[in-house]
Amino acid sequence: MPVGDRTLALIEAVRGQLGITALGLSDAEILVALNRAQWDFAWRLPDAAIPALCRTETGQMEDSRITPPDDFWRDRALLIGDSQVQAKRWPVAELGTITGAQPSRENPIYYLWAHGSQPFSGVLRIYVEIGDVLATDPYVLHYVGQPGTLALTSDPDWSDALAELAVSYAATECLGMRSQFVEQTRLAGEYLLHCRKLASRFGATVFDAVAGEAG
Amino acid sequence: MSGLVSVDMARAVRALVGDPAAGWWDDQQIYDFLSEAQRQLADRLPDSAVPELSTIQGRALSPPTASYDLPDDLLRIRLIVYKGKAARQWPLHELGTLSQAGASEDAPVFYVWGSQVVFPFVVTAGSFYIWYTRRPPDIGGNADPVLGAGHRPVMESFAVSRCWQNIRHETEASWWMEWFKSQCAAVASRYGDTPPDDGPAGDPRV
Repeated sequence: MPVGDRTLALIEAVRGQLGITALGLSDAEILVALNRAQWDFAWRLPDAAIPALCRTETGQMEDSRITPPDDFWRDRALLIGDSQVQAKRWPVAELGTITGAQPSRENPIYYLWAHGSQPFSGVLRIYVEIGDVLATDPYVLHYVGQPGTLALTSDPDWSDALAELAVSYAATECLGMRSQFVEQTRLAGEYLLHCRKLASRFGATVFDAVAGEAG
Repeated sequence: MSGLVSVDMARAVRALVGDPAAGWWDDQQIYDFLSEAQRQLADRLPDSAVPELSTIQGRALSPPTASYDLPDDLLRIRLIVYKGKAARQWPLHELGTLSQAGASEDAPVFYVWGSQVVFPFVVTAGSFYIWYTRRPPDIGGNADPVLGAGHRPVMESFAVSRCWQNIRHETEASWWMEWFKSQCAAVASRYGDTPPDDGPAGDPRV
């Protein structure tokens, strides 16, 4: 399938939901809603439901720091060293208690912070405490990545299993673009219910859980 | 290039509000709404959900001065490290018990009063660091939002609500505000104590 065809199919599906005239909306307007859709369901669904966004980065620490990849969105698990010991995430407000926790290569601890050169560099880094501020140990970072921007020349990086959800969200906001608020409210309710039902199929505590029968 | 994200966001807001030709609201109005949205997220979301706003400011201590100005852009203090030791924040309603607290440079304590951080013990030369969540700067045609890509759709929803409110379309304004709140709740749920979405990204108590 040529690049962009899956996005085109999504646009047509949105038009299909909106009816024959599709409210006179352009592809660009529908794409605005589709791009917002993928972020919205990625916030609402368990990570297990969006496996295409669950990514891994490996590397070596630099002075006990890790610079996350460009597409980094949320951290899920950080493994440190050749034996891949899982690091514990530490609340920033309790950094003063890290020493008491005796961080080491057997008991790694990490936190996220964005400071850098003043006034505000805003560069997000992962700070790892293993009792060696110059550590260059290898790491494996499991993280949720950012979905790529949808365009006529690019396809979604999530599976077609989420297409109906994306279309439902986009149709909701397209109705809002033409002030069709009664229909928009009804569709929004359907979208949120769909999210909840889908979320219920996945475990609440294990991010790589298999789909269950809870729903 | 700075401002490209802002321009895209303004375009999205215009599409969502049905004003792609920019007939109702000028660019500055929309940037103002987006700036307000970013401040709203900074207020509403857990600190762990807005790591882009975290920063540190170091200060030299000038004995015997015990009070030091807070950073101008301070939103919330996360941590104060006094000469390498994490200082404990003392509750204002318990200031009367400070004298029994045994505060010192070895067991530092601080409280905030009058836009200043106060160290209620004998201060000697050295430095301290304030780790804090800063107030996000304004968004504009040449200034992108500080918050990450995942927060942009949420900010756009808030701005759409403000656009409708600006022309007294209360039904539409209310709908989008509720949508914004729903999105905020979804974001916050990823960082809370309970994992309804299987996604605690940590730092839940901050």
